[in-house]
Amino acid sequence: MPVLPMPPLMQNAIEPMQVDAPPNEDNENNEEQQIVVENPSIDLEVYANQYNGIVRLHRLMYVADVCPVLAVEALKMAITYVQTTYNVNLYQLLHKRLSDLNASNAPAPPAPAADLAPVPAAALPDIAAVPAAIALPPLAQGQAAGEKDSFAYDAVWVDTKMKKAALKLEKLDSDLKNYKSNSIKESIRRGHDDLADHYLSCGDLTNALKCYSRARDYCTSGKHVVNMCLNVIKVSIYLQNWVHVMSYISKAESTPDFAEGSKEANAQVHTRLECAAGLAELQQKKYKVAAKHFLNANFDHCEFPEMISTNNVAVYGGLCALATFDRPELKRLVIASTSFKLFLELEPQLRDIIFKFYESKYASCLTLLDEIRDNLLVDMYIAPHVSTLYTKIRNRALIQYFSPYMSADMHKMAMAFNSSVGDLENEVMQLILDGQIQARIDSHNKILYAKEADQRNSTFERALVLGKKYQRHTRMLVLRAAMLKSHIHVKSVTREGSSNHGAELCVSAGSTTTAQLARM
Amino acid sequence: MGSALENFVNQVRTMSASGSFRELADDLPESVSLLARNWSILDNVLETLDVQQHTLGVLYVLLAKLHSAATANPEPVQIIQLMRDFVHRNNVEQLRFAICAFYETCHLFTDYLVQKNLSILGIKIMARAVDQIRQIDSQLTPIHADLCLLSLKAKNFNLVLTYLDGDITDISTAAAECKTQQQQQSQHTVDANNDAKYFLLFYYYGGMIYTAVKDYDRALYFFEVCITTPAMAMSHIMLEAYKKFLMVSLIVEGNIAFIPKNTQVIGRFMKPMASHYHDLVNVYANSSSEELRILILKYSEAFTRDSNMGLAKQVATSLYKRNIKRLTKTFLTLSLSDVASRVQLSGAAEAERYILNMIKSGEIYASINQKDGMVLFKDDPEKYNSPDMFLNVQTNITQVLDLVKQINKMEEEIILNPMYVKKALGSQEDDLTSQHPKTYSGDPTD
Amino acid sequence: MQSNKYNDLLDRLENEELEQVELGAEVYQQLMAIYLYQNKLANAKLLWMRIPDKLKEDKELLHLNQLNLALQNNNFAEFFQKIRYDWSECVKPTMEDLLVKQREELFTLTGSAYVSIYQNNLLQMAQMTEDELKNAVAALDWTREQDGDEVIWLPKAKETPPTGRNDDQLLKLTEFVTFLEN
Repeated sequence: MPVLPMPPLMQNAIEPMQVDAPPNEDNENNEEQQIVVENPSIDLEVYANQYNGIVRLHRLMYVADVCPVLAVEALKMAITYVQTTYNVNLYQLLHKRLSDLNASNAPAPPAPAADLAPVPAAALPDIAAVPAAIALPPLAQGQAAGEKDSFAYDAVWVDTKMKKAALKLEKLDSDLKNYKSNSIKESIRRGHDDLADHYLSCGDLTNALKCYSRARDYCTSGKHVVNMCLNVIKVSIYLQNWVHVMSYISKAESTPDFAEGSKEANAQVHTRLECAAGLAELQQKKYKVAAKHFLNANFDHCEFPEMISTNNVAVYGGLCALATFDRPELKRLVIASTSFKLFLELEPQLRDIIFKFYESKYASCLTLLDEIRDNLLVDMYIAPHVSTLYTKIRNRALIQYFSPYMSADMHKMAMAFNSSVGDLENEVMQLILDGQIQARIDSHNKILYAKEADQRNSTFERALVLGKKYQRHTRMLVLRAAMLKSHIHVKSVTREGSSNHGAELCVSAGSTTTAQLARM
Repeated sequence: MGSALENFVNQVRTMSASGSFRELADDLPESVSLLARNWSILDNVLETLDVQQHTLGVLYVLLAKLHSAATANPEPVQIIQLMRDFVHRNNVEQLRFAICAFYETCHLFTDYLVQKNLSILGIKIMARAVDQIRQIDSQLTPIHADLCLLSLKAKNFNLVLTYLDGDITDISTAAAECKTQQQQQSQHTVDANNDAKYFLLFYYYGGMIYTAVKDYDRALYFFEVCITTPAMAMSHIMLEAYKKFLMVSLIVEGNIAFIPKNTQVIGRFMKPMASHYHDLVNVYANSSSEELRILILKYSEAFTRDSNMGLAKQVATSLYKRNIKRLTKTFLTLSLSDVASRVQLSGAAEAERYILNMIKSGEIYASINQKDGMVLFKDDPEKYNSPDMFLNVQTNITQVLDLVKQINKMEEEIILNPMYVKKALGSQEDDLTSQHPKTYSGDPTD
Repeated sequence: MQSNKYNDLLDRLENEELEQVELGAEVYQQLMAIYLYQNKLANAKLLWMRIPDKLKEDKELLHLNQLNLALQNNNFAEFFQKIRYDWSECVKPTMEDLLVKQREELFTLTGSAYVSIYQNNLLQMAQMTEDELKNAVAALDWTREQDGDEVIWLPKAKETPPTGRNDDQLLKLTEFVTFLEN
């Protein structure tokens, strides 16, 4: 395998993906592509092996999207993996991405291209020109032969896979028809599930979802219903349809037999649902609820490589908790939680962050947060929320920092928060305006003073405002009663012609007057 | 003088003498066209009648005169003098038999003055007319709108403000007055629509007047009444009021806290037609004066077309002030140049000017230190312990208690209303005791 | 000096405006002067708007309106410059009163709005000579400081009026709030 070209490239030529569930966060991507330059702590192989199925592919593609340094490696891993499935479309797409990537790198290694002059020279424009890459096979084959590149486009594979997939689909379809004519419920249900599994393997998520859902009518036990829900939830997560995910979670939870069954299996289903719920809430920016869901996960039954890894649970749960919990909650639900402790041990950095935060060592806490930022940004589920969560955590830290003081030196405070006095001033100002910190800034001396509330004054103030409002409201009410009594209301149709005209005239006549008045 | 006119004069004289004012009032509408046809000799007719004794007759001659003003082209001074004379010397008891005709006369007179650009001369006359015809001080009549229009046109608000400042508890409508006077039924629906129109106009003009004298609180109240008037269709008056309501609301509250109740009309018709104004509200919420300035510039054509450009500028100023106020809540001291950059003013000098103005008007409490270019923000020095403040609180309490009394009185009236009793007993599921005045302050006769 | 000093005259003039057809410039001049003196700037503004166009060329009215604009913009310098004018007899006393009143206003405002103010700025605003200013400021007991080449004035801090608490009031208020909230 030739050495990977590792150019410091700006990869802005990413094709919009055509698959069903591209992790497509356009506005986020822009900044991340620039942020992620070095990524020492991520071992892509280990990272990818935490997942299987579509999730692994989606995650790898996301990495390729946001992290130029790892893009080629990620794509190659994805290609290797996709070959174990029937997902021919994705295979083609990945190849296209890879060759696009190489094409944009092409200027870097011009020399090797020279020996193979006819091949790549012809291949490159072709790749760019034909989206479906159908014209590619012979050339690519030649390339493969010439370069012995195991990542060359394998048209034969595509062909056979497509045929195999079609054959299998046909078989499953006819099986299902068979079952249906025999009307054996259980077989029909399985037939649907098998068909859905196959669709999933082909990457056809919409059809997979349809088939999984259809199984619903043939469920004969609560267990089947729960199973159906889990299948739907799984595919809905791939499709990023979070509302759907939530509704099937509650469907599963309200299934009568859900609470029964073996404890072991039950705990697994339970944790799976909690994780799915956490994920859905996280995507809908309900961080506190998300945190609580993740914290409910049971470490011993948390084995869903097709959905989420245990490390993910630790990170998502930990960050959301840090961003939304107050001190007692943090202590009780996170630090003192024996079950979540096991999760946190997988992510020692995050554990440190949480403990540092709790010990009010904000500077080191924030530094550590910055260190893991890049790792978070290659994660397709948390990346879009990183900056919001970080701001929330920072604000929480600021509030806690100041809470015991009557006055605080903003220079020291800035030091404690790794920021400049000016930036800190802006941050604190926002917090004061939001009512989160009761204080005033002495910008001249750069001191933050706590502001004592004068109960008596505020009582008076409130009373007067309230009295005024009450009077206004009541007057309006009295007037309204008079209006109704005198049948004052604007009628439709009949008045359109004559009166509206009149009204318009009056209005415009009046308006000219305001025009002059307003200009004063 | 033609014989028909002689008949008219005789009829007025005899019936007035015998005190048959109701019959006279019922007959007179038929003479309007006759009088208008003879516009050239109406002055002769007037000479034979006395305002005090023959109020109804004179009223109809005036009405005819105004109707025919376009063709007759009388001396404005003469018309004004006639009206002035009429409102000062007429007999109110007689006048009450022809309230509709009186309202119409006033509307025509107002239109006439506006057209002749003599609005200022009508203000006192119309004020007097209102005084005469309203039964209580808190009654609204259709000619209140005329008084407002004249004042707006004349840009003279001293007098009209005394009429606007009071609260309205009762409304006189042409529809109701005409019904009692058994006038033509076909007229009825038109009147009802006009009643709504004059009601809306009063509150719309009133809002504009308060806006002009910068009493934004009260202006907001007036616009709010205007846009919450029950409506099955959108009136253009309501739409214009809605636009101004949004802007004044920004000036007063900084946002649109109140969501009007008849949301159907507002949501369906007004919102789409006032989209520029909603954009303004949204941008205002971002607190960026710069963005707001750009938006106002972008929409300046539309705002100018709606004659709301002046208000838009006031909105822009209010955002600067609001942002400065926000600073006073967060800072004890701040340099003038920081103030300028934070609220997007051009520089320290402009910031100083804004702050000085706001100190002067009592909007903020601060002092400027020119030596080091800092400004020192202070708390409101009001300690709520001065005798003045105590008095203020007490007045407030009395006002509220008065209002409560009034509501109780209204409640009693409604409970004693036979229609209400019938209805309440008819539908037993409406729990009588739990009903607060608010819930049935609606129309019991409906 | 009370601001209702001219109320009777004002009533008469306002009435006149509402009833007469052709008014002379004098009525408007007087009205304007009184509005300015009584600090009814909105009224003054409206008055200017309704003054017939041909009268707007009247020199004195023009000048009065300039004062009005200066006051509206809180432009003291402009105001004190413009008020130096050879006023006709009908507005002269009002203008004299206005000048005194605005001078007072200026010093009250600067006294409360500034911790320190450069003499040059103050001179500019008040349109006074250095000696006049010295006298005015001395009467108010302001402190003079030297900041480099420039003189800077520190207004005397106003003492806050004595505060006495009144629990009775608070009690009443509490009752009021309870009432309102129910």
